[in-house]
Amino acid sequence: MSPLLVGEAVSRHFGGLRAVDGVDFHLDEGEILGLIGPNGAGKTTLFAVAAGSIRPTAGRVLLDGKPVSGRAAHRCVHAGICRTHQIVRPFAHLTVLENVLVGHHFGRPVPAAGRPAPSAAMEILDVIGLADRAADLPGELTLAGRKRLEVARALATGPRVLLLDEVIAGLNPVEAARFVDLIREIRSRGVAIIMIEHVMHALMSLSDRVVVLDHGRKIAEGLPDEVANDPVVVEAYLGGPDAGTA
Amino acid sequence: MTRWRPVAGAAAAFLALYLAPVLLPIDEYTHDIVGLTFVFMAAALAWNWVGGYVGQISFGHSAMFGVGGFVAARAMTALDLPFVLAWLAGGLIAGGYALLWGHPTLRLRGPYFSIATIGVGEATRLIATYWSDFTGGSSGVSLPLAGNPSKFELYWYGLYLLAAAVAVSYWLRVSRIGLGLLAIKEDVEAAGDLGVNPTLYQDVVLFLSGVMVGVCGGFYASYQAFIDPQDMFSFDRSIGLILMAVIGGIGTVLGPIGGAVVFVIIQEYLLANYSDLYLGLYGLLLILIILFEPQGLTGLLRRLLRLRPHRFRRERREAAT
Repeated sequence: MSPLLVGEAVSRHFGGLRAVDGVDFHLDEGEILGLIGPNGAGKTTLFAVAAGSIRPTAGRVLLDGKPVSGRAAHRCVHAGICRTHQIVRPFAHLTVLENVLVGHHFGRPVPAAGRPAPSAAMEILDVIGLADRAADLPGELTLAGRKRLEVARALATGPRVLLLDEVIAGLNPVEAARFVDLIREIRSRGVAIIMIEHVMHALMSLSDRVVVLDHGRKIAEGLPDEVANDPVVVEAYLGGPDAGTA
Repeated sequence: MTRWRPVAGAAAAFLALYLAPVLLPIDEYTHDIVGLTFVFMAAALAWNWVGGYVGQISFGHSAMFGVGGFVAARAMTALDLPFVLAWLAGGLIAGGYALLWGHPTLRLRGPYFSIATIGVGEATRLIATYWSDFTGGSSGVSLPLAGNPSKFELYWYGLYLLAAAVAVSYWLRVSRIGLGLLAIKEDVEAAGDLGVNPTLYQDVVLFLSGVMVGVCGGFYASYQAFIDPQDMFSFDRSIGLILMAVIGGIGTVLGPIGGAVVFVIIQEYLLANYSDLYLGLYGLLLILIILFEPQGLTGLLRRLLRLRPHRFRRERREAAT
């Protein structure tokens, strides 16, 4: 079976900076892929390319064998890729439910006609655990709540691939544990996920596979345990044995 | 059930205004001024679709007003089109003109877009002034008396235009498109990341706005029976639309209607008595509104009635429970 999402030598340069430099990756149906790396490794840039927010300098991203990179963001969403933002960006003057309705109504290539119908969006809020906050404004939610909202909106677009950018970071341990369950639940609904995460135990327990980026390049790939013990990865995070002397 | 209440209210208001000139002893001057005010209301509502719903403040709507007016005038003088068709032709061409400059400039946001629209408005005014074959240059165009409706009849056509503008305003707010526009206004990138096509929806709304303002320009040409470019394309005209929307409540469904009433009253009174002062008073009014009640008359009314800010939101709250 060919993978759902494939990145072929994806590069994105900003002037002289090679934020992402020839990265190959793939994501299978129903898989959770962890994407880690030190700050500035190019993780979020890779997401932005896959989600159509920015164009790749070279290479391409294919969904089901069809290229999606370089397309406008809304067309990537219609194709089935949706991203969340590391810093949540709710529509502050719309209610929680309306925020989700935006994703529900516009996330598909041929949207449902007529007035917004809240029932499908309410169902998603139920899964996400925000159903009782539907009529509140996003500003009235906690950070964990706003992160849930970010995921709920993305889920409402009916994605096949969900790109989660640090949705767990910044949450307390109890909320983080709930979020891990939530991500499992989303996967069980048939959505493949790539997640960027600095909360290692969450990422390691969720991911089927992990890709490590450093300075825009892929330096390791494999099962979570393999990657965690890979000397190249340890060096990237903690510095090499000669780091202090250089 | 709540969704039919505004429709019933609008229908009652329409009927009352439709019958008022027949039933009430209204003098000719008031009758004419009210008819013209209907059209300013319609134009202010149309400006609000772009300025209020999408949050792109246009200082160039006089361009569509003028294009609509001159195309309609020429359609009547040169092509002998009936006046309603001439207005529609003016509206469509004005809408097309709006797309022509709007499609590239709508990707700018905030003050950058506004500055671009000032350029568009002024450039259009200059082109129109020098293109005397079409606009008559500084001597303008006179409309034929035959086939042009009287000011007395125009009252009802103004009312139809207003009704159309109210219907589109309401539809743009409660429909699926309205939700997308709100999302674009809040955060255009986040909207795109949820599948909203910002270019498409902004273009559609600017086109609709251009058509409506263009038709209003056509009406104005019929009303005055004489138009000249300096007046039709004047910067004051664009500012007037902004003022009506801001006074009434920018981004609200019906606010610009109230704003237009205030605007016309101030204009008629002040222009007649203190013609040097009126622009200064508008400036003062604008400052006061932005400082104390950014939602204008609508915000004031809501505060007095202690209503919640978003009717959209109230509806969802009911739906959610």
